[in-house]
Amino acid sequence: MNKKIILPFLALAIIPVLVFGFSQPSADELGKQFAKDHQGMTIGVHTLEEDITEQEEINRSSLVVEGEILNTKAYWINVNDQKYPRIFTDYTVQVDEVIKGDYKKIIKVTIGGGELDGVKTSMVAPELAKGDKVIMILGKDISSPFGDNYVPISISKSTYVIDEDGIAENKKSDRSDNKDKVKERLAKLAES
Amino acid sequence: MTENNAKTVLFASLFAMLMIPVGMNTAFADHTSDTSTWSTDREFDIQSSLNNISHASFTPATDFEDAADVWNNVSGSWWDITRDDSSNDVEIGSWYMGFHIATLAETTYIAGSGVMYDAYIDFNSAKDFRDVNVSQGWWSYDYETVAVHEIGHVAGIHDHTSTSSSPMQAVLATNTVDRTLNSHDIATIEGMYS
Repeated sequence: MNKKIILPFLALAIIPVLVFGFSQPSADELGKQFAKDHQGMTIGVHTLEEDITEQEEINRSSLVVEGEILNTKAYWINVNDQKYPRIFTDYTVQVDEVIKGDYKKIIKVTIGGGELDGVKTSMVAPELAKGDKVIMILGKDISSPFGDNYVPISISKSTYVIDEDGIAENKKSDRSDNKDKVKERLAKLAES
Repeated sequence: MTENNAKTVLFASLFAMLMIPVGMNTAFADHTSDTSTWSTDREFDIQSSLNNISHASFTPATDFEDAADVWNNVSGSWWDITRDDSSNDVEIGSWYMGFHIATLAETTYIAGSGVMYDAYIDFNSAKDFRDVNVSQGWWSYDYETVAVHEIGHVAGIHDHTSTSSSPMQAVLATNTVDRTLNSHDIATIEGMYS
């Protein structure tokens, strides 16, 4: 076989490799494959946190609000080309009251974990759903994968979920109290 | 080049095209429950991103080996985890989670049907990790204590402990060294891997 016959074959084989073979699959594609491969399995994330006081959480925060979850959107993200993609969830929050920071009618809060494509990642963060009333101690770091969205300062402790009786429940049980008392306490911490 | 050679080149190229995307994903058997112990020893694979954490007073990879030995040295447990950077097994890395958030590190695990299936550890590269026996700062955290904690999770310990003097507590104070397992930690790992 001479070169005139071989070269077109080689081109046909190599060009698609160059065009498609070296392109990385998207986080969403990787996530869907991950979900398909891990149906029925437990995926959990354990978080070790700094031992910080509520005062320190407030000091680090740029926004402390009471609000309502209007919408949730989970998505796959591949941070730092890790072994597996992970699920982040964006929460759209309607702000009803600002305890610290500038007023914004609507904010977006991103928390690691969530449920997507039949896979659920269990985290130490409280589970939130549309319609939940919350008090959140939030910060923002645009250099992080969370970008321009807010994140809770402590994934386990910086979110209070308000129940029907007006009790603001916190995973650290000694912080739970009537929501007005919690807001008053946080406001005092913000002033000091 | 002969006709056979040309065919070989063509099929090899096509095979490479097919294998690149396939190799990026791994198929797993389905599991339905979470009892979370490994069926064999593991290896950990230090990722280059681990070097993004502060390391003026320590070497992240070698200090991680020391942390692993804290668990490996429990005589009543057969389970060991040792370093092999080419293993593609339990990956140890870091990413920038943010300087203001309280997360120091996290372990993600996949488990089901009586076994831990996979796990990986990520440190928050925004934090000031040190060997605090050597150097301390305003918001410094002892790297090896954090590593011991996370390896405990990799081993399959899913609960934090409320017992004092344990690296398996849910939070860590600044400039605190707590690298030694207490009797509760030892009993737990021995119960899992005796």
